[in-house]
Amino acid sequence: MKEILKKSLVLSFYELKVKNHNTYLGFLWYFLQPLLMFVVLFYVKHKVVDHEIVDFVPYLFIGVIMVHFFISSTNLMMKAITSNYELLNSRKIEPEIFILSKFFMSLWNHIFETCIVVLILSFLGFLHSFMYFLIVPFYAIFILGIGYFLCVVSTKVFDLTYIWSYLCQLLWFVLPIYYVANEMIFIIKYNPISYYLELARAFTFDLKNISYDIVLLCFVISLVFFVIGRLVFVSQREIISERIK
Amino acid sequence: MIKLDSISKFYYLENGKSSVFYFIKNLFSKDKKENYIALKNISFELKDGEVFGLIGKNGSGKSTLLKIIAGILKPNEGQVNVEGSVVYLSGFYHGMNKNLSMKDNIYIIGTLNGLNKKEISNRMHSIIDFSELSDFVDVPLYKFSTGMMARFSFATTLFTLPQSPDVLLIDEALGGGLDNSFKEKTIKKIKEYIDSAKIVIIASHNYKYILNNCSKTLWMDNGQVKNIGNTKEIIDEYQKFIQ
Repeated sequence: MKEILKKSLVLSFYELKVKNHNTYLGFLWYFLQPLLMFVVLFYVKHKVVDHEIVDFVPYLFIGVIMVHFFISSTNLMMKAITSNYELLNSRKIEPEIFILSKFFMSLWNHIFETCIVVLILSFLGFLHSFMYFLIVPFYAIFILGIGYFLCVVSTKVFDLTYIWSYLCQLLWFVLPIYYVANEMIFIIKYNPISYYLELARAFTFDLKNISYDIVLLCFVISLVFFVIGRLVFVSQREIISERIK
Repeated sequence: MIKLDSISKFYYLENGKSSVFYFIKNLFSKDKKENYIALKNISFELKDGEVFGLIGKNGSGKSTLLKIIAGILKPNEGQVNVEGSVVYLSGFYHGMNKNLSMKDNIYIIGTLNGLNKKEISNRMHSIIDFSELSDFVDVPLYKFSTGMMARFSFATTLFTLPQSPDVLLIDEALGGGLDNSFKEKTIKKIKEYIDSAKIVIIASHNYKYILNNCSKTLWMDNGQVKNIGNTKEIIDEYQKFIQ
């Protein structure tokens, strides 16, 4: 496992380098997408939705970067095996390296985005915003579990890439990113991301409202998703590259 | 030592249909899936010091057999016993990232082949010298010509794989797409690699090369062993068969 992690980290570094290749803004590109989403949703909230949200700037920023991390990382991990099919069929290489390298790449992006957001929020007076980093490990493990599962299923069901990207687009609307859900409607209640959002917001700018039930719930969700995802992956690891048609 | 005992390998034929609809339909379908038999009941044993040839038409199962020995594929039936480290030489281009420079790609391939940063740095000069591309070290690969890519990928793969493996499997990797002088150089390098390995299996359509290097040869046809024995006799028989 140590060897797999080492190789994944090296690959993630080169993947970051490729993403920056020949661009003028380089690393800043990672932050531009969530920033643009922030600007649009900020505008929509103020012009269209009439109810007020206290501390709306950190509320929105946390929502945008967390959902952006989820969408970008799961989409990358889902294609980790199918995009390296030829290499996996010509060398004896542990397929997990490619999943983890995509995961680490997304994680570095997220940490970079978060650093900028924390700086902005600190400047605006939200001095506890750095506490968000405490949520990142839980949330990242939850995402990794989903990534393991998706990459296995995508080797058999090619449509999954379309289905998942459509579902991810819907996340921007069905999660309380720029609005407050006054009651936990079905679609929010059964979406684990909404609990991470709640916890992250409590940690970042509303420390008095931290519920230990939510902390425990997020811990359990991370563990369950990671264990299930990894078990599915391990059961298919030996034949995963053969599954691709 | 390599010992293969009644190896069979088959794939389900699903006509490339991999949508959700077909996935669900297959889950509940009682129809027996159609199998494509890639290998059927292959058995042989090789001892240290043997250089073994593998011939047969395209699609006869040579690559599948080598991939099973290399541990890349799993057989559906039978037992495979391979002692020691295995190197499978094929598909030199795989894993290269065309947006990155030659130097970065050497690090990627080296890492994937299990080398650490120091080992890769130590071999960097050998790769650059061998490929004769010292002026292009920091140039991204998409600017390379086909010939330059062939030189670079060949040199990188060969110098970053474990040296002196116990088992060396060569799958149609005898310098295709290279100019004559570089081809000679690669064949010489592969020969050094062959000499350093304990057991070598060479799958090729270059019968002259098989004849010069292999004492024993296996002729495969439709996933089965057609004949096995002295290289010259097998090649003569095969050439008569294909004519």
